[in-house]
Amino acid sequence: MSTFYFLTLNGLTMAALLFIMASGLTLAFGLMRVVNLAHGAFYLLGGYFGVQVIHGTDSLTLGLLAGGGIALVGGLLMERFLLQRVRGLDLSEALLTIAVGLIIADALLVVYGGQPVTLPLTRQLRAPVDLGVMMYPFFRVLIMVFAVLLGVALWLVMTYTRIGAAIRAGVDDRETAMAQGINVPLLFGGVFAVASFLAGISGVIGTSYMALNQGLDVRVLMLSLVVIIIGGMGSLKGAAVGALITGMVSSFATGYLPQFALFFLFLPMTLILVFRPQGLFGRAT
Amino acid sequence: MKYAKKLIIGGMSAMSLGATVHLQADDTIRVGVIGPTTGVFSFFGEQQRMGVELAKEELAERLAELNLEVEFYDSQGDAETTVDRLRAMESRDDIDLVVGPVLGGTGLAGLEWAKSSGMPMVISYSAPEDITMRDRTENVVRAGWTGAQPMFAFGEYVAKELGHKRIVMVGQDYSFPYNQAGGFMKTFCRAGGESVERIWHPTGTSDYSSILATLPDGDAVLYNGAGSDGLAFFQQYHDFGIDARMPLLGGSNFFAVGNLPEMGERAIGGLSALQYAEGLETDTFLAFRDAFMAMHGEEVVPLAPAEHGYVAFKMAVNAFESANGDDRDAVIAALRETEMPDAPRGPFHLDEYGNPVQNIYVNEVQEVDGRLVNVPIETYENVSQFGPFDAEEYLAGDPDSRDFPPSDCSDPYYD
Repeated sequence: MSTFYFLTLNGLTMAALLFIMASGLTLAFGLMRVVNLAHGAFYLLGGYFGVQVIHGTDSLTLGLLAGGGIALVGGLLMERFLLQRVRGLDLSEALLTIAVGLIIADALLVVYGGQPVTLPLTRQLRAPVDLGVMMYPFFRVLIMVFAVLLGVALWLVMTYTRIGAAIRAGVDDRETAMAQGINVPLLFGGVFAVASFLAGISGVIGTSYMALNQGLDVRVLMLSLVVIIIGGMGSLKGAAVGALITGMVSSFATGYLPQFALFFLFLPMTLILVFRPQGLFGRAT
Repeated sequence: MKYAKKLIIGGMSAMSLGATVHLQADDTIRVGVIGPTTGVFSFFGEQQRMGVELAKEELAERLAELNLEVEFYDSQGDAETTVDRLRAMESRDDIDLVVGPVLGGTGLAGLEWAKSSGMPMVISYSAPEDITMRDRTENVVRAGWTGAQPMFAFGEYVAKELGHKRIVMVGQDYSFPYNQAGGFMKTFCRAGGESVERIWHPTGTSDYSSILATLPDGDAVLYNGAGSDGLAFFQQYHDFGIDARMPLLGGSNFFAVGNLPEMGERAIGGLSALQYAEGLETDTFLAFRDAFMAMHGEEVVPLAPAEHGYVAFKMAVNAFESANGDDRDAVIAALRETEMPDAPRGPFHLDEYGNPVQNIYVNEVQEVDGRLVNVPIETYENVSQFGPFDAEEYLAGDPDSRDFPPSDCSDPYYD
């Protein structure tokens, strides 16, 4: 029985991390119809820089903010100076984000080298806590709590604030929203920045248990895409459900059939694409 | 006009003829060193480069005597690039001998190329056993090791000295870990072990929590892999406190190549086996280590890829000296006769298949002067790439794979 709880908690941790990653990606897509393929590179950027700051200052909070911050700046620059020039050209936008992702990843290789990096966490954070059903490392519990808080916060903003309403209006009908006096380009920049911030922060968070190294950007991006394809692109609720499904399937598959872990990871996405291409909570276009 | 054209063509062919003559008349010996000096695996290539630089400095006089020059090439850790560089060495740069490649896949690609080219090659860190076994070729020898080689000693050590009966092995799903597992199991099972349960995961897995959740019981866990996968596994193994239940042993690269600083003090006591240890205390080793760190900085500890590059280059220089020049057949013959009584890692000589017969050290991670170091606690002398087994019998058997040799030590295979 304890194995079952163990696997469930592992699945939830992974789902939490995936949600932090994918929520930004899906919001940016919903609003701008841009699949930001540099999202994984921002994960890497935030991770490396955040870990460096933590080494320098011994402060986890500062590291998280620095990791998120540098990705935010990167995202903002990319949106302002590159993406805006090719707005509306689907292929150019996608290629541009791939190019930026490759450039960032290669630059990081030059700066930080190819050796894997881990996050120095205090003993208290690594120590297991009693969850009633089993002992589980404290920082993993924190990751889950953070993801839930983030989900609630995003949901509140989207549902109850003017900005949220403006974003939803922009998602539904860009032209009409602009005609209503909503500054859609500004909104784009803001949402893109927040999305990049979340990617950067998840880079730091993820490094708490997954060693950071070159190539992780692509795997992380792939997982985020799986999540938002399952959940439906542009839907926050979809990202949460997609992350849960992906995390759980991956956890149980890795636990019982490690050789087929990748097969089971992509199985739900394949089924969704065949039977419900718009995703669980996506709208058919 | 016609005349002008003729003149140009004639001039050009004369020039190219001149160039060829120039190349042939050239009595400089050129050694090409290839390894991944950029990219994800640059750590390995840089270590090799630094080892060769050191050997170059130490042998400066002999190199001047031989008129020997060294060129460095970057394989980027990629098999195709490796072959491109090798071709350029032969056709463009008039290289007489190659040191490298460093990584498994590039080593196999280099071997294929060397077979058709006939170029003498001293492979350094690259460990696929077939380079000096089933696919061996006269002109390729190795300064390093095969994947199974250190594990022959480790399997015996774990069964006899540690007394473990049942091992759970988690490993990266590709040929090098298969070979390491094979070497381990072949001696472990014959030295009193009961079973080795293998769990393979795809390379690049970053979350091991669920593998750890369903980990079967055993006397110890052996992580058969390295790099970022190894680091993540190590961290999560300790996060979930499994180290309190079963000790964690390492494959040859697990503690040995560069991850120790990131692993931190939790790595102390970790056991693994390799033909090298940066905590060796012999005079030859200390001289090598001090010279290396004086040349490349106090922070750069020479690890196995550095020593293997250093030694591979020395083997090449020795061969040119005893061949009295760059005559290919003479150089190859001299290479195959290599004896290195004073290599930093300890004395070795090549077996008739071209792979070192050398010391294998069982290493324990210890803290020495504030630095985590692999310190040898047991030495197995004269271990060949076939371990305790007969070469012909070994070669007639199946190559190691994900489920060969059998998990259960009572299997008739081990009789």
